[in-house]
Amino acid sequence: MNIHIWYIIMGGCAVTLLPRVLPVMLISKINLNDRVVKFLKYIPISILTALVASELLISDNKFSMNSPLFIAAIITAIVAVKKNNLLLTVIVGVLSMTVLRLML
Amino acid sequence: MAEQNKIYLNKNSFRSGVRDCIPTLFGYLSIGFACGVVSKSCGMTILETVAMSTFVYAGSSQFIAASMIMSFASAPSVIITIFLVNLRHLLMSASIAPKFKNNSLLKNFTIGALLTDETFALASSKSNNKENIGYRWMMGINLTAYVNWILATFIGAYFSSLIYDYKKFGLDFALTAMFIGLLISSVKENSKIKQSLLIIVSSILALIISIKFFSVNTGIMIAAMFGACIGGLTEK
Repeated sequence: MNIHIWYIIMGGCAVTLLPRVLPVMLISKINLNDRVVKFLKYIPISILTALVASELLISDNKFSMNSPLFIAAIITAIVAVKKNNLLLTVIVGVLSMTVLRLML
Repeated sequence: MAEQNKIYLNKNSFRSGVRDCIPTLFGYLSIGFACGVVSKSCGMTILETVAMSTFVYAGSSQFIAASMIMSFASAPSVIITIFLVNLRHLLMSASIAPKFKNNSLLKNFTIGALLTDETFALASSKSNNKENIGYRWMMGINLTAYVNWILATFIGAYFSSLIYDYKKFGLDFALTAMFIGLLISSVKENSKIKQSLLIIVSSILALIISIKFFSVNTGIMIAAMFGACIGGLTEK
């Protein structure tokens, strides 16, 4: 047994648990002012944008554009806009990435 | 008849939570599979990989932790990295908090403990801010996603020797594709399309600028906060 890895697992457990549980436990018990509520309402759009952009535009901590990735992302986005079906969106995205990698 | 309909349409039940989680399963199954393959090939055992999924339960952190373990990084440095990569859940947890006002602290602990990018996005699109989300529904999506993730990483670790290059099949794009799908559905919910576009553009710009000074994970948090501020300020 590798004690080193188990230290990482237990420490990792603690540091991922706290940011997940503390806000929902504490903020749900207090009355927030309107500005904070407005701010929190837009977190989904802004954080998902940041996550997508970090996958598409950044590699090795630098701004970069990768064309197969970009084309696959555009195809995925079109499916997501036209159809309200997350599973289909993911499958088309993965398939288009596969095809693009084979072609380019 | 009316009562039957009521039972059938109970949108807050555990079962409907499970059902609402199904569309995300394929994406996390493939990325979890990839995570299992990578963890195993970085020198972790199947048991360690599954324990990591069970206790840390964080996709991108697990990929990074595996590669740091392979390069013999110290335990504190890996733990700090996991902390920073996952710190965005602080914002997500805060963002859904107003929807769980009526729950006990213990219930909200269990909701938060299993919160992920995808269950957060599902919960955000479940209701607008004035409406509470049912505890059973939330546990339905949370537990489904959790079990799916543990199984996926287990299968990946178990079959890792058979896979020589998972990237060849485009599976590594599953997570990005899912984020795109979730982003577009959250844009569709906000009826003001111009405002949504403004938030998107400002988040991207904030990210590009902040990575000049900080790591990507810090950049993601800065971009998320900046974009949400723009959203709050432009609301009429």
